[in-house]
Amino acid sequence: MCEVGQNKVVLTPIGNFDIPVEAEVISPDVFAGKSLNEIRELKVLQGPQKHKLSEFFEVSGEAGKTPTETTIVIEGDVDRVKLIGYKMSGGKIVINGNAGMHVGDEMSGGEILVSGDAGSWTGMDMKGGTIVIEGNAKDHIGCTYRGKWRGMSGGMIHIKGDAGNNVGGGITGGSIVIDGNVGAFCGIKQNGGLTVVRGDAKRAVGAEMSAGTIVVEGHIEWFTPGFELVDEVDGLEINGMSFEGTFLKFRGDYAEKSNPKGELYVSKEKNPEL
Amino acid sequence: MGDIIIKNGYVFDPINNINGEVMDIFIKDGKVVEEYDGKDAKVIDARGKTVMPGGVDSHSHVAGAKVNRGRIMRPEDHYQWVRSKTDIAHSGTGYTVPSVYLQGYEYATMGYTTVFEAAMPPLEARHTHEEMKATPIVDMGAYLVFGNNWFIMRYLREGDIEKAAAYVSWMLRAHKAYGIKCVNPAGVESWGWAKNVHSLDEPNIHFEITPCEIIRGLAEVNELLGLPISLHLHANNLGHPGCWEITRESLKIPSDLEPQMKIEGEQDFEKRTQTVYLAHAQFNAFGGTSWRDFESGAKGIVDYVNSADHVVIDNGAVPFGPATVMTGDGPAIFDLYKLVGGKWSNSDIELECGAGVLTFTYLKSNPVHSVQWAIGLELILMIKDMWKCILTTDHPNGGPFVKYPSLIAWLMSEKARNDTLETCHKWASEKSEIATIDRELDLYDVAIITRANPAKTIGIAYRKGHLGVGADGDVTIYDIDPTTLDSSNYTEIEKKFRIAEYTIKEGEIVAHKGEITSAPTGRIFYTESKVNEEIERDVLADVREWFKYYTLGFENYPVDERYLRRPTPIKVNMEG
Ligand SMILES: [Zn+2]
Repeated sequence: MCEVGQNKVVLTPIGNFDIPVEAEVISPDVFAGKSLNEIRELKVLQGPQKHKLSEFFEVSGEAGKTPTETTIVIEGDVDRVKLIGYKMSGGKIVINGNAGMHVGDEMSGGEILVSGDAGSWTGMDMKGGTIVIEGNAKDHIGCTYRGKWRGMSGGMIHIKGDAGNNVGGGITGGSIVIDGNVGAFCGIKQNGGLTVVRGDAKRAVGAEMSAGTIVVEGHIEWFTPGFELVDEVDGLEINGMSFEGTFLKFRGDYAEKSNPKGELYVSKEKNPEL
Repeated sequence: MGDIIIKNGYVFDPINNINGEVMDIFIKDGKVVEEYDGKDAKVIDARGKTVMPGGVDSHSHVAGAKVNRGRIMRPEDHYQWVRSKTDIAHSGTGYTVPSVYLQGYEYATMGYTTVFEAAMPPLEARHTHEEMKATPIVDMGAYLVFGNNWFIMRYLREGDIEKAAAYVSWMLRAHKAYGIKCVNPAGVESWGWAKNVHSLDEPNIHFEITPCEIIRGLAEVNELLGLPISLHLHANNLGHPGCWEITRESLKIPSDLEPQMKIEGEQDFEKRTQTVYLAHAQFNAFGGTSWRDFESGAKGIVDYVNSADHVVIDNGAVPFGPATVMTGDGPAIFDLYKLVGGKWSNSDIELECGAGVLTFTYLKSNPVHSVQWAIGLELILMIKDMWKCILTTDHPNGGPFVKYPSLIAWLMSEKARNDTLETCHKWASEKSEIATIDRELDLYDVAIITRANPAKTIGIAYRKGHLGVGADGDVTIYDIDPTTLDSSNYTEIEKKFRIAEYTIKEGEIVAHKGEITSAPTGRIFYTESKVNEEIERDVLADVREWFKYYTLGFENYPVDERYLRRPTPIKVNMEG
């Protein structure tokens, strides 16, 4: 399926991934300029034990000289591998399968493409670059770490399926687009950036948000009480994305601040009760 | 406990007036001894290196309910600051509020071997001891919080200083505590009713007692009992513009008292000279009248400290960056929370005190924070006699203790300060005197403010803070050659103080270049004092009677020695 060639390293999962493996070394920034043997020797953690990357992956191909010149292709499911693409600044990671938790944490540039589903915390605190997930994603997509209030500041996350709870928690910049449905607390503590839900949302959309924009094209099951209707608009144009139909524009969350700047656009047609 | 000989190092031991002399230090069975042949002793060649007594932190928050509340509130403080498990050391996490294991290792790596928890609420004593018990390597102790205690307020209101002293004596024994801490005297009690007190003569709610009466009373009790440490005072109005003035007035209150230390079996040692030890002076040295005309009030404090012989301060400096603000001064934390937001916690400790916790970040771009950074440094650089000051961050209030090396660098290097002044808000230079100070501390000064004086001030210099015969074999070797030390190369100074070449505890190497090499169990120091038996009996009758207001039984109140590791009582006032 994937050609082994220049500037491309192929990782084929072979190991016993019983206890999740923490593999922040799988990043163009780490692989760039290294020989295949050096890459095989890189250390990953499984529980408290350190192992060589080669105990879990067959490694082939050739890394580029710089991160931007390096592509990493993972041929298979890595649901139980965490932190792939951690802090990457450039280059590309292609996962032909499902990804585990914390894909693309704190990345600042480059691309991550996942053909299957993604785990929780995808793109946590990312600063730049792009993550595209063809399937569904779990909770805390583009959300900041527990206890933190300021997270993702740039870049783009695109989930083509559904996502779970707490999408975009604490984002201050960048954009997240979910083509499917989301769970609860989408855009919680958002204070900048853009969160788009093309499908339906459960509850507490934009709770505690103080700035930034959320667009929900589908139905919100339980609307957040701290928002006030300020306008009604036909068609939207935000960050180069256009949205058709009539939207109710709300401001909030007044439960969080007396003068909040959060904007929440909700499809009028899909939410007749509002 | 080990035998070790440290050869050829440049020794800085201010208590014994040793200023960079090349000397050998001999340790046998964990104690400093006269020269011996040392055939079985380990020998470290410290040629070209700096040798100091192990660091002593006389004011830190590392154990107990509020510290743990900080840990619980701050998962984000933990996930990026980690230490892995080794064969002899536990894993640990946390930057401003590290886990118990980690804080022991971090102190040891930095060359500190003794750490005192500066605010233990009596009701939280068991919890505090449990955490201290789990903290590896360092010797510890804790000051017991009294400034808003119902029994103390009642006795002092009645003018019964003897009963107040008997109560303190019993409490220190019951809770295995080391000394008296007084936080926002009279104010915290009013905070239970959402109020505070704002002047030294303002009586509080219900007890109708003033801060002045409490400070005076506790200082008298302290000297009546002959405790090792003087009163440790967190003055009123903390953290408010203009608070330097009430702080100075508070310091005057015990000026006529004589320091009394009646430690059994210890005669000839460097005794404390102060009757009041001001905590985290930086937070009590705010000038101006509002945040708009905010400025440093350090000069007012410094002028008084320079003219008085009964005061020692620790600076409670702000090194910029993340902090977790935690104090028994609940109203001060609430006011700060209203100002900056963030995650806030508040608690009341029945009959005794309270506490507040808040997440915080000091920013170079913030005008007030920049002035706070300057105040912290002014409070050492402008004090003439280094034996009147101690370096702290009031960990983790001004910043974590792992930032002490940055503070040492700023104090030792004018260039370090000037470079920071260029990158922080201009208020730092405009609203303080920091930009005009060219003083640079030397290694001898640093040894005073990080080990010798903390030990002297808390009355433990018979065994800590120096390297004379009989002292504990706690030694730090820094990879610093005093003959080639260049103060303008301050990043190097910071690096060298951050990771000691060797930290030796009771003759055993506990840390080497950042690695933990052994993790012995430290001691817990506490004070056992004696008072007139009849008065103590009367006081205990009062305590039992008033115990009906507590939600626990009297029998469950005291903490017994099983909760302590290597319990080390210090007997004082044994004539009663
Ligand atoms: Zn403190």
